[in-house]
Amino acid sequence: MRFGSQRDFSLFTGVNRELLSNVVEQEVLYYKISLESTSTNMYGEALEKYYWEPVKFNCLITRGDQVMSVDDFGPDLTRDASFAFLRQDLVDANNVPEVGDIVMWLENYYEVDTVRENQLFLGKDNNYSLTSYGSQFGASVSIIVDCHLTRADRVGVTRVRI
Amino acid sequence: MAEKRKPIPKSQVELSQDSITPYTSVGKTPVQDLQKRQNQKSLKGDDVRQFSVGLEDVDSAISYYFNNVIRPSVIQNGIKINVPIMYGSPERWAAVQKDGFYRDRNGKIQTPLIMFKRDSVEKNRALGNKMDANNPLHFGIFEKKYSKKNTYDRFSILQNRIPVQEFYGVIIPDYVNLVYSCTIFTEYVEQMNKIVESINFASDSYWGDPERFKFRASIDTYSTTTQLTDKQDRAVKSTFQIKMAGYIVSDQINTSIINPNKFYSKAALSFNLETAGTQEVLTALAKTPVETSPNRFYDNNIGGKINVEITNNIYGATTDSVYLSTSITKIADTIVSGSIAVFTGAQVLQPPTGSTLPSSSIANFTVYVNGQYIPSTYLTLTSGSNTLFAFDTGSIGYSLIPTDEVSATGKFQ
Repeated sequence: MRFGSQRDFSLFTGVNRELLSNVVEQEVLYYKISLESTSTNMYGEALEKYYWEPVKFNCLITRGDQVMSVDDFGPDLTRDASFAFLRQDLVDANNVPEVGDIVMWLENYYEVDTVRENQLFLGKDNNYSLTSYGSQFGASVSIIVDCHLTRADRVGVTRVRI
Repeated sequence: MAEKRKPIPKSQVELSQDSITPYTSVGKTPVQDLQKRQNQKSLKGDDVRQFSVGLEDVDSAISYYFNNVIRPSVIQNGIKINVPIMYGSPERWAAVQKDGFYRDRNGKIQTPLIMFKRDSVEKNRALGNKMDANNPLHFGIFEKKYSKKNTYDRFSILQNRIPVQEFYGVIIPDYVNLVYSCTIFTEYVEQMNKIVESINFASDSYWGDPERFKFRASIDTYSTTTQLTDKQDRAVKSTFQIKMAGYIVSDQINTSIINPNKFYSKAALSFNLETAGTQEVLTALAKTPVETSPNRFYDNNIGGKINVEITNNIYGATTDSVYLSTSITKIADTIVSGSIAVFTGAQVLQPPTGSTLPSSSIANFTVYVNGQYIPSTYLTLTSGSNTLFAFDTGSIGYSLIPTDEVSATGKFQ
């Protein structure tokens, strides 16, 4: 293969990182639950959750509109958002996005519903190859997490109720 | 302008207390039983936890029974796989990250899998009832096996005491019927068959941890579907309902009215000598010094003493009491004509002369034939030198024979 080497990808990553950090400058905090410290009951729920220290990432944010839904409990706010991370940033921070993680943006907390990793440099992921040279070409560029706005009280990071 | 407030109606307790008039117009108001010090039990140092059974205990019983008794398993690719059981709709992070053992690294669920979740809780009013949650009157009693009060039990023998038992009152549970919906998810029908067979065998038995609580479970119907959907894996799913007969003892604060209600058995009983005059003259002031309670209603006589005699307002003559206290039992000597019992030489006692009491009649006697009570409406009394009781044989349904034993209790002389 002649194109899409790791050197090309490094250039590509550097440009993207500069774009995210110095131009777009959208910052979020990424929370992962400490599975060792957080215990669940038989219903698969934890009344008290513990998190690792959050990691700050630059990302592209696709914002959904605020939607007010009304039911018997009165109006309630919902909002969807997608956060696109540069995969190399996540690798450097040793952070693996998973369903159920929490992303804080604008002092709001979003729970990860879906993790998408479907943007490949030249359509190839260097982590999967059946040839001896395949690991030197192509790469996964981004990881996009689709989220919904969750109740901050449930997350338990900040005190919501006075 | 001050805000106009809606008056608050009185509670039932306030209405009840307002209607109580103290028996004395002076002195202290009577203290309610619950406020008396002798009725208040200290729980200091008491490590007995409040008894409670919750919905989670019932849910846990199902989980325990699946995991430890039924232990469903299937053979897949030559390997025996224990079927995991999970409660439905866990939190996302828990389902993916904590309980990820039934998913592959991409998050796809691997079968077989059993899911259950509670659908409804319905009160079973056919069983026990605590009557009123504000004042639960029905409660069961638990005995604590060890009491610190019996530490020096050998001294108890010397002091003629028996060991004290510690009891705890626990309210009658709320009996409920719970319905759970369960889904078994397998790859193949053959696997499904084995799981359904094992669960069906466990139906109509008591499920739960023997060390904790067990509840009767019953399963009636299994609905099995084989799904072959476009762009999806073939899936075999069975759904069924588990009906549990459960009970709940809440640990909320309103149950603590009676739960726990701690009390002790009596270690010893002692009797003091008490005497009373024949006319129960209350001149002794009940051995209570006047100065300790100077305003009792019976102390209002001159000099702080009373001289009260109980007078008989109904029956003035003392001989009336002799008549009234008379109750003599006699056996009939002979049976005549199959319907008349003759008490030879027995005469009916009449009220003393001048008494206002009514004359003795059949209503003053209780008659039995061979131990069978005969109502007075079936009898006729004839008194004289002998006393005769004539039976209405048509009403009692039989005739008397000479060997019958006829006894009468009442106003015989």
